[in-house]
Amino acid sequence: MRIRLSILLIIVLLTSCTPQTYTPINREQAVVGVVNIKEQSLSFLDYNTKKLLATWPLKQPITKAVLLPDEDTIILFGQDMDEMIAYTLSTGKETKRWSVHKGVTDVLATERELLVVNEKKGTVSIMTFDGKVTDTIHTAPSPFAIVEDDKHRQWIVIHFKDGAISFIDQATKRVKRTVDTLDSAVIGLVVTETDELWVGGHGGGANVQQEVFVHSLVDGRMIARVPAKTMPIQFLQSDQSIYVLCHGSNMLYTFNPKTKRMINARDIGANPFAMTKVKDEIAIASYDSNELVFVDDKTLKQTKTVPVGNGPFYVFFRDAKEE
Amino acid sequence: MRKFNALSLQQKVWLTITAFLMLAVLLLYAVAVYIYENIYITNVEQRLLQEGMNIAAKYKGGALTDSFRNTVSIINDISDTEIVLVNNPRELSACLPFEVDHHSVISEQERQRLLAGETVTKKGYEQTFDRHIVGIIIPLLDEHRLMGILYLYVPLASIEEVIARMQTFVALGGILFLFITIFVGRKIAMHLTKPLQHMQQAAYRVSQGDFSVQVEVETEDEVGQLAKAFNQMAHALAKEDERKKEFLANVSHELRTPLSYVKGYSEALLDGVVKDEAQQKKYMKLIHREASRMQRLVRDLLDLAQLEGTYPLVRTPFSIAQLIEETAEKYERMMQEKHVHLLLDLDHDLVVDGDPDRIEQVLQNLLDNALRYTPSGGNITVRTTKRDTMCELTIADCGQGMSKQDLERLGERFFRTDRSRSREHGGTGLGIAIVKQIVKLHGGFIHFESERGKGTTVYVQLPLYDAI
Repeated sequence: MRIRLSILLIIVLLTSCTPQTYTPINREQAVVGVVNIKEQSLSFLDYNTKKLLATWPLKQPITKAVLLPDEDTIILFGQDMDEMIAYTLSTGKETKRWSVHKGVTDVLATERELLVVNEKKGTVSIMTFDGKVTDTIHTAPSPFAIVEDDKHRQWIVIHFKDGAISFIDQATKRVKRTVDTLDSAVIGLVVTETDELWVGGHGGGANVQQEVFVHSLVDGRMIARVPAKTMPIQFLQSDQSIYVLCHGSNMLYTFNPKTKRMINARDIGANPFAMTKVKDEIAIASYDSNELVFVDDKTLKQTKTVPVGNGPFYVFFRDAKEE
Repeated sequence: MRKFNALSLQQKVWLTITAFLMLAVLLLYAVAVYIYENIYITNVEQRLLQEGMNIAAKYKGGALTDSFRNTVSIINDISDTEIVLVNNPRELSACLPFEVDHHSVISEQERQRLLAGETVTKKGYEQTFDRHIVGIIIPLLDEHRLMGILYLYVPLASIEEVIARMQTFVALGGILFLFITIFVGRKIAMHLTKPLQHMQQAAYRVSQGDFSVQVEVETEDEVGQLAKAFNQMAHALAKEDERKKEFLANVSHELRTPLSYVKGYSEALLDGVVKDEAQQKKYMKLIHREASRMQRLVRDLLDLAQLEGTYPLVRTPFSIAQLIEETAEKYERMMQEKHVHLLLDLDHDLVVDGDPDRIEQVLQNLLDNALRYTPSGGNITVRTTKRDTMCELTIADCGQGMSKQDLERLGERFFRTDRSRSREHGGTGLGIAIVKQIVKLHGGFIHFESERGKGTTVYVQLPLYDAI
């Protein structure tokens, strides 16, 4: 009896120690991944059929997922998490987890390393893919998002609370310039052909942000304001246009990058927070209606609406591996 | 608690009445406020909801138009209710996942409820308006989109004012009621405890030997019954006291007479006043007679005292006829001397359950009396008959009989129908009292019938052995 109990105990302990395995996501499938923050899960959709493939009930307060260059590893993190977790999509298994300070809001995955933005600490940490910190860059308070500008060999950090932009030299790994921008900024887009940085956000206090601020990538000064009602919080760029998603007005706009003129506008979803380019479509996470809305990237017409988990907040696309 | 116990009954009753009345008033007040508040606020909520729904019905989906805004603005101007139209996404908590450092009009939970099409009721302090309110939030939904909200509210201050006004009224009324309660409570307590106080004083007087005291009976309740019982007790005590005094007087009187005989004759003998031997003998005989009388008296007193206590009867079945015959034999000589005829009519089948010695004492005492009062040449009849479960023993004489008043007093100690005559006849005056006590101890009955000049009949019923 005692032996049996011991065996049972060992099994229980082993199972509890073993990382959770979720439904594997076939490498040969093109998938759209959605982070559902209210129910704390990941939803995977088959891009071709637009059907739900799997749901990973992570039960961790993750806010975003970053796909590594191998296109099979995702790193999950959240502002209220004190660790980052790496999963292999094709096996559904956790491969690694490491401790971080709470407050991680964005991670940029380059070819060689991870740039981890910590809003609470006011730092950008350079990490290897397995979590070793090689360098820590101190920025102005409240860094929120990071984008890469290869042309000018710099990383650009968008600051949330004080509405600022920090330009970090990739070589020296130091902040070379900080300029003011709109309040509660959450997103930046590098437009290489015009040497411009488009910045979006909520606006400060009771003021609702109605414009995208355009800054120079060279010296940081503000060049233009592009009207985009209201609260532009997500950008995408294709060959001909820049997509701007506004969660305050449920609008998706396209602009000409050069003239900055609006090309198209369409109201989409309910309180949409995120979008990603999926081949010739755009997938938009509609937060209040718990849906993923697909629109044609040219006409912006809805092509499909797929229910996902509760509170879709972030969306990413992983293409199928070509044989 | 000890302090409470130390209080007088009047104070306790007073305090209890006052405390309960005050508690009742407080409870009533709390209930009134609760009901008022609930009914009032529920009413306000319903009114706000109705008003809000009417306005929301004008919203037809899509972006909020200027016309709709104007409508809300006009209604707000003419209505008592504050109506706020909010469509700023930040105020609607739309930016919440980004941790916007801003206090929104609605919280995330409220947003979820509004998105689900529910209304939200607010009561209490609201940071947005920096005041206490009762409010209703109605969502303006365009499918899944929360395009805006209608926030209708009434400042709670007005409600509190009403309650405050009521509080003043209630407080004043409460104080007045408190005084009335104290006054009325005291009156009730006094009314309840006054007879008890009277009784206490009366009981004290009784304890001091004043049995004449009487308590006034004012009510028919328990206290009234107690007062009645108290009066009865005092009356009984007075009677008993009287009887005791009479008894003592009787005893001393009964003893004094023979004692004075003994003293007088013995002094005469000692002084040598009587020289004649025959006379001396006569005096000696008289002294002896009186000494015997005192002996009988003391014996009877002792018997009576024993019988009135816990006297143990030695019960055994015996033939009553046989006992009567045996006893009668002892009287044969005396009967012959007095020329009295004893007539026996006995049922020899009757077996009585009793103490034969004591029953013999009964027979002797009754026969003594009968013989004593029956004139020469008269008859005494002794009869036994069966009466259901009892044996009835009848002793009838043809003596002088007695009056109704005397008949009633028969059995009292030292009672004699004719004192001088009785003493002359040698009775102690305790015989019938002893008889009554013995019969009572046997569970039997005794009663007398008598008529002046025609004699007296005694009926004694004793339990039969067969009946047991």
